Amino acid sequence: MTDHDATPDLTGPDLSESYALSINGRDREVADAWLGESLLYVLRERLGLPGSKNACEQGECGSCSVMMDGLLVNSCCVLAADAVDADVRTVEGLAPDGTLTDVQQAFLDAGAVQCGFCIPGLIVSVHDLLDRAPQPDELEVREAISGNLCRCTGYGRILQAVQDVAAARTAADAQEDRP
Amino acid sequence: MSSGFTIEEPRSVDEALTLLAQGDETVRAIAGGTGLSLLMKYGFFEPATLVSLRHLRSSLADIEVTPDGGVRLGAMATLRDLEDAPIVAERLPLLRQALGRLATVRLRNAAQLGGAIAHGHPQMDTPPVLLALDAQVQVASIRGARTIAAQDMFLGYYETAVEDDELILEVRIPPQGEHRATYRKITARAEDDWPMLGIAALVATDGGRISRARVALGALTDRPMRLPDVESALQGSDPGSDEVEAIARDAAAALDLYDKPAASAAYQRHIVAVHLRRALLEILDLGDGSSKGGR
Ligand SMILES: Cc1cc2nc3c(=O)[nH]c(=O)nc-3n(C[C@H](O)[C@H](O)[C@H](O)COP(=O)(O)OP(=O)(O)OC[C@H]3O[C@@H](n4cnc5c(N)ncnc54)[C@H](O)[C@@H]3O)c2cc1C
Ligand code: FES
Ligand code: FES
Repeated sequence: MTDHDATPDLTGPDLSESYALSINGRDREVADAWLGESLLYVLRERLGLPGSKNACEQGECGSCSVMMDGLLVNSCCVLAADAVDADVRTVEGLAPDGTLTDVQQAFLDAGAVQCGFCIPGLIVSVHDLLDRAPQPDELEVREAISGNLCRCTGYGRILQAVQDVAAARTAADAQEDRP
Repeated sequence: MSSGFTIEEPRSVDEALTLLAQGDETVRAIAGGTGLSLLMKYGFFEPATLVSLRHLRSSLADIEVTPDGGVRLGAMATLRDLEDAPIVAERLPLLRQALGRLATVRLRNAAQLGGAIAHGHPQMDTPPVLLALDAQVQVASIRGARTIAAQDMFLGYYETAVEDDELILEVRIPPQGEHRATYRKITARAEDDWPMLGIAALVATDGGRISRARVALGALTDRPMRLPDVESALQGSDPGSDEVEAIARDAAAALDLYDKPAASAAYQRHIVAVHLRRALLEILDLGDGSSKGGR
């Protein structure tokens, strides 16, 4: 937690509110929360979902990326209480516990993970990209992950991992289409 | 420190306008939240009530061509909706070009057109573009509806002509006719940074002559500005590259700028001269000017 994080002040009147969010297909109760809390804060600190990372807290770094009603957003810039009724999907919801998605596996295989801090945000962004554009060119990939800041890798292996998944998915589709 | 407040979720524009009409500037609309939630986080803004626009979106996000050939943009369309809309690509390529480099996909998926106006941050990309397109912003309150020209909209840091009780409902762009336009975004650090300078330039042509010219700069001072001298120098003329260079140089020299942490006034003037020249060369089809290097 950084200093400027939205720490709830529970001393005044009217401060605690309860509401429900839909996270990874499950209804989750958020009890006694300050309404100014970001979705990122609520995911991490109230709902035990620390996969979405908190780095800049101001929309710059993408490490908090989640899907909201099918759209990729920075959860640090969304008020959790304004996400009631929205379908929120976090990195935890991508694959059943203990398994990896093809994107996660490709990141590992390509050696695209160093300290790992930026990786959950990148994984969510790359899933979003490949859902929209199954065979992205390099510019599309760069555009999609621009704003996912990584301080370790220099991005080369990340770009490689994305192309690997795209190629593997295309090959798998071709296999399926074969009579 | 953070205090208690409420979030209202009106189901109709009338309901939202009634909520906003409390004569309290801490009762505020929230659209994508990308601007407002950060102001709250930093403690710059403490709401009494946030009026969430999320349930109004479906009715106020349309993008359509108007009978006169202009375009109507619903204020609750996200920046991404606008970027992806075929009508925008076809009729307002200038807007599309500017949106393509506005922050990141994550931001554009959340931020709405109304927010991108009412936020009133001087370093945004949309204001100079809306100025160049002669945009008319339709707002409403329980007192009635009115139209604010983009030209009169931006008044300074986080200050716009939209009153506390007003909601932006739509933006109308008049027909642009046969035209060429470009947006040049200059960032000081990363590619997806806020602009340190945004130049929106547009020329409409009629039989080879420039019938209308619009040149607007954003991010230099506390508000975007049109450059009337440049516009009148272009209008009715057919300038060559030397004239364009002189026009850009004179315009930059005449700007009233101040030193900023990221750039001195002299540096900003230099950047304007270089990029205004390139923008004009591009829309006048005189090459993009980059062969002259950093001049
Ligand atoms: C990391 C980051 C990078 C950014 N980079 C850029 C950039 O490069 N270029 C750029 O142009 N901008 C940039 N921005 C700013 C961004 O464009 C604004 O935050 C965004 O447009 C605000 O829209 P919103 O829907 O999220 O508004 P909100 O945050 O919901 O609201 C902002 C303000 O507008 C008011 N408002 C919203 N909708 C309406 C309406 N319909 N009627 C009346 N008032 C309304 C709210 O009351 C509030 O005062 C950046 C922001 C972030 C966080
Ligand atoms: S923590 Fe949300 S973008 Fe950095
Ligand atoms: S792997 Fe360390 S920040 Fe990306």
